[in-house]
Amino acid sequence: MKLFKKEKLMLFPIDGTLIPLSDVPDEAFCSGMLGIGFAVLPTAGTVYAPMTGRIESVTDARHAYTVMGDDGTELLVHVGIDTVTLGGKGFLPMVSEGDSVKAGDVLARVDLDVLREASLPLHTVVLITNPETVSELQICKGKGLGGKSEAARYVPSA
Amino acid sequence: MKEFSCRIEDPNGLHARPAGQLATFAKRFLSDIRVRANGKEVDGKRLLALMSLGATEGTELSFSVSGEDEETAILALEVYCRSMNADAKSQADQKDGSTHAEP
Repeated sequence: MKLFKKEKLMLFPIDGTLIPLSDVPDEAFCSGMLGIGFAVLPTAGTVYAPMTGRIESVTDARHAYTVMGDDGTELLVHVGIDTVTLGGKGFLPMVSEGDSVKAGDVLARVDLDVLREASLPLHTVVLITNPETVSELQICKGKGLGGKSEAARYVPSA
Repeated sequence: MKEFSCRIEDPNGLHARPAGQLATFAKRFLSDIRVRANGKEVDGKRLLALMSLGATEGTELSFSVSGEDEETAILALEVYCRSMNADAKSQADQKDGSTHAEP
């Protein structure tokens, strides 16, 4: 598909199947209160940057990564639901705060079996947390490869 | 300018969900809301900024509110933070099994 001039892409954050945000088993995410975006039900354990930007933070529990996009879009990549409770177990960050990343760069390695053993949903959520800077967001459908396949496109309004 | 501080009591710290909820709440006010912790000061209306504070259990958050609705905002934020801490505590207690509903 051809990109219109202003359109930007977001890549799959992990191998798997795209899931609408409304189907994520967490009220804060599915209500859209924290931002707009999509989720992927993962099949593999490498987490990639969906867009180019700078790492704003890596949480202590290593399960959430925030990226300040070059175009001003603020992105949250949150691996699994309630994974903050694991306290970092099963997560290996490959970036730290302040790092520059390109779309498709590896953010982290995850042992999904640790999540499964703790009965935590695997849904990996990608959220634009400042939706006022985005004028359109189209989410793709189906399966894709982390850091390679297109998951969504948007038009930055700035 | 109005100020107050609050200590994070959530064992998981100010993680994505509470940070997002706090940012969403702060956006209701016209005033400028700044939050300081761990030697960093950020915009309290931005989820990413709040998460970048790296606030864990016991971290003191200092709020500075300035603007036309600062009186209302500071009172509301204070109540909000207390209620956020109470929720976190109650959830932690339930997980420990120290809260039991009796028939």
